[in-house]
Amino acid sequence: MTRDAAEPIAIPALEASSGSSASTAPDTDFAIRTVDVRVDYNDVAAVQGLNLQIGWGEVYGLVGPNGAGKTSTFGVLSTLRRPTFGEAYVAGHETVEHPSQARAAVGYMPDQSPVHDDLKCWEFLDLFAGSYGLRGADRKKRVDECLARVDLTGKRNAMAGTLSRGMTQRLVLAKTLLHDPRVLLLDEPASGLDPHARKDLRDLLLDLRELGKTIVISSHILAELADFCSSVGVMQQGRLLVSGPIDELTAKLAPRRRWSVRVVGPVAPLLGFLEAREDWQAVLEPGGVEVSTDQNEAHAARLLAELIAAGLPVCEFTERRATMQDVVFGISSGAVA
Amino acid sequence: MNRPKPVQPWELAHNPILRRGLRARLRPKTAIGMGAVVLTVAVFLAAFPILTAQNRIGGTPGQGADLALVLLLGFQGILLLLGGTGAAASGMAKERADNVLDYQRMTPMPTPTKIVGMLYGLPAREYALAALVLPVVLYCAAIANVDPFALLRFYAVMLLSVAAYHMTGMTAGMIAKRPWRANMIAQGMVVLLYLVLPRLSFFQLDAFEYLTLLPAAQEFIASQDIRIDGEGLPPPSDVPLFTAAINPTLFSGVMLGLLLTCLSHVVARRWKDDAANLFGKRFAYLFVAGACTLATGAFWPLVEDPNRFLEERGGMGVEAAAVFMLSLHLCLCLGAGMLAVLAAAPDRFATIRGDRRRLKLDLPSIGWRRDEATAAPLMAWSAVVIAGAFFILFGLLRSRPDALDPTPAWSLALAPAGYAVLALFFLGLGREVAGPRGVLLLLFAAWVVPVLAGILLGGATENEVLAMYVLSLMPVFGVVLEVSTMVDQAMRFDHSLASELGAHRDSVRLFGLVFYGVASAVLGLLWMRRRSRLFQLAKASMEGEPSPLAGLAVTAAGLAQPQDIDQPGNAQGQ
Repeated sequence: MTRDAAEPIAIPALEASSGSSASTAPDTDFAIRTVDVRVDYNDVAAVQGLNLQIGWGEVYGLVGPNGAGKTSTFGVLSTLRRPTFGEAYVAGHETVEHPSQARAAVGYMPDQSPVHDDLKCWEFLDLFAGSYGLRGADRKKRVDECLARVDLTGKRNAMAGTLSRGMTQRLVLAKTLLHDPRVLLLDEPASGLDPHARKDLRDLLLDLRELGKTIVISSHILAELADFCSSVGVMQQGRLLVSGPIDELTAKLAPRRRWSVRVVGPVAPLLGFLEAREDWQAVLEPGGVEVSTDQNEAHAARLLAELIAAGLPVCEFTERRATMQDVVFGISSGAVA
Repeated sequence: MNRPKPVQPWELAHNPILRRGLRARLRPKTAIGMGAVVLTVAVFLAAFPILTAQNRIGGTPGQGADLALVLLLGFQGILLLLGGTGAAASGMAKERADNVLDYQRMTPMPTPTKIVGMLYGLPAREYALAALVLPVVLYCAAIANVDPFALLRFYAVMLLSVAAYHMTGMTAGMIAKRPWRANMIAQGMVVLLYLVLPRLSFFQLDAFEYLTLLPAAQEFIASQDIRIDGEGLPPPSDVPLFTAAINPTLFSGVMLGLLLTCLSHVVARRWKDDAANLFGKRFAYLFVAGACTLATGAFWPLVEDPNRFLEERGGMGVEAAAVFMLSLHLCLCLGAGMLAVLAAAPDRFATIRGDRRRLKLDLPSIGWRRDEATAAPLMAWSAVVIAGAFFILFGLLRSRPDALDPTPAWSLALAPAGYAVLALFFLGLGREVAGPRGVLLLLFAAWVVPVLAGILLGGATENEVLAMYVLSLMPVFGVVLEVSTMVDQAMRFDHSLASELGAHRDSVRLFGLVFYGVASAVLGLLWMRRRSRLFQLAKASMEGEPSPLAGLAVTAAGLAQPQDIDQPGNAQGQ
């Protein structure tokens, strides 16, 4: 039985949840948990067998190509979409059986982030502050707080429809923060933003991370997530292929470390030297050779010393770290196993 | 900070969506200009009749105020009914198209509060403009010595009627995917609900006239002795329903309230889930029962006292009246049943979804109330209710020996009721087999094409018998033919439609019955095969599903071994 009856919801001030993730007082082990979720659109299975667990205070990146099922997953977690079957829990509340409680815990910023273009910025926020049950001076205070949080106080009286793309994204993010949700679902928040606006948004999200929010963010601009997310999941064709902390993923899924080696003059002597080494693999590349090993930096240092001792004129010896992008592409293409 | 408290539907002053409508649609820049125009027109509509009566005709200002009052109320009606309905339909459709409705879907505010906010917020400007006319109306009412309570009562019905119109617009906005289509659907619904159905009063079916404001307006004008060009209006008579006679204003309120309930149900369902069926299963059952009860109640006084009907229809015999009333009643009940089935039946995707859920959760059935469940039980229920309502009315007719002589046998009612039931199953099964779009093609082929062919055959080639065969497939015509034959058989009635077919009469009506019998049986078989195929499809699509316990998982909290990751579906968190 679906219970959609609205119950009073507690909305602490933004500052009240500031600080470490411990202050979010989790009432379950996970901020988000899904059990075998499936979503169908007509005859297309948008999401299949999704089992996801995201801990409190994590910043989780959901990556995948268009049509991978990211937005459908957000639809289920935000209570907007009923799964064909399976359960999704947000802050311990099942999204179909207890949507009101789940909605109180989650803030969802959809792709494209539409706004009411016939309202002023403060009116737009006031509408939703009222919809979350805030009244009178409390409502006004919260609207001002959220405008300040996204640095839009100066645009308080501007019509929402006249804002730039970046400002619109921030305004919708302010709306998402109105009820101070513990879990934020941000669907492609950086799409369509210019580099400056993207940096502003990134800084803002870093602030929210510091406030202890659990953030789930989807993007196909992987570089944005690399230094921002603590964990990442890769979706393809409706399935979650892999999920885990970025460092561990990188280490486990791309265990070989790579170095770029360049010498002055022809590379044939260098290749000949490396072919004799079983602990190194060498691949010819423009201007030099890429070597890889499953061992550590000390092993690389020994190789460098041996190259110099052999009289090879080494002019560059640089580590190439596996990026998240490498990992994701590797997983998506099945190359990484 | 105080504890947040959800806004309840009756807290209009705190309703954020209503406040949003007031802000967005009453910006001084546009509102002042429109207000000035409306006020100017209102003052003109008041001043012209009053001053003309006073200065040119030599009458009293009160005589002019009578006309002014009617004009001003009409002006308010136009502002609210026409302008407001368009604003509600396009506003709602735009919110859906822009996806901003999802924001509201996610707030914990109760759904009725959201609907009330939209209902009065989207047409906020039209309400404000109508309110601007109110002082002028009150001035005229004072001069015309109109009872304030009578005016208040009229306004109550007017506001209810306006809400019904606006809810019609919102429903269209919730159904249509694009604003322009919402406007078209809204216009179509307004024409059907408020212009076509009320025309049934032409056949003494007064109940449907009360979907409009006209009876309340007539009662108001008559009760206050408002005269236009020196002539007043007779007060409307009480509305006969079964054996009761109900006050017109009260009945208007009841009818509009029922309509609002139906439309609110659709809007609320779509608000909660954009992909939901228009009617929930439980509501569909109630809708069929309620509509058939209302139709039976409206016909009851006419069948009970055919003279009332015959007085208005000069030249019509009691037999023709019986054919007419029973046919129309059966058509209305059948229409209600068909509407409910169409609005509550699942498409094939929903059916597969339901089967997957059933398989996954190992349920014996999906549950009859769910959207994914078949509408076959609803078809059966509708068939029982429609046939039952028909037999009740037929029984009443049989109990009037003075009206029909000799008394027709009960068994004669089986053919018309059977035809209606088969036509209903044809539509319902066709809907589930062919889907929402396919059923339109099916109906075009089975209903519209025969009508066109029948007109061609009968009109252009004078092959009337063949035309009748073809026309018997169209339910409206088929029902009339069946009822007509029934009355003919009972009473040796020589002038009915059926008797004009002479020797072909029985074979023509049997053709319709057999067609729908065979078509329903074929569709029934197809439906069963389809159910089985969809179940197999659902099962097959489930077989690729991993068990939630299978495989070593990869989660945010910990990693699985790499060898588990390259198998799609095995890399899920546990």
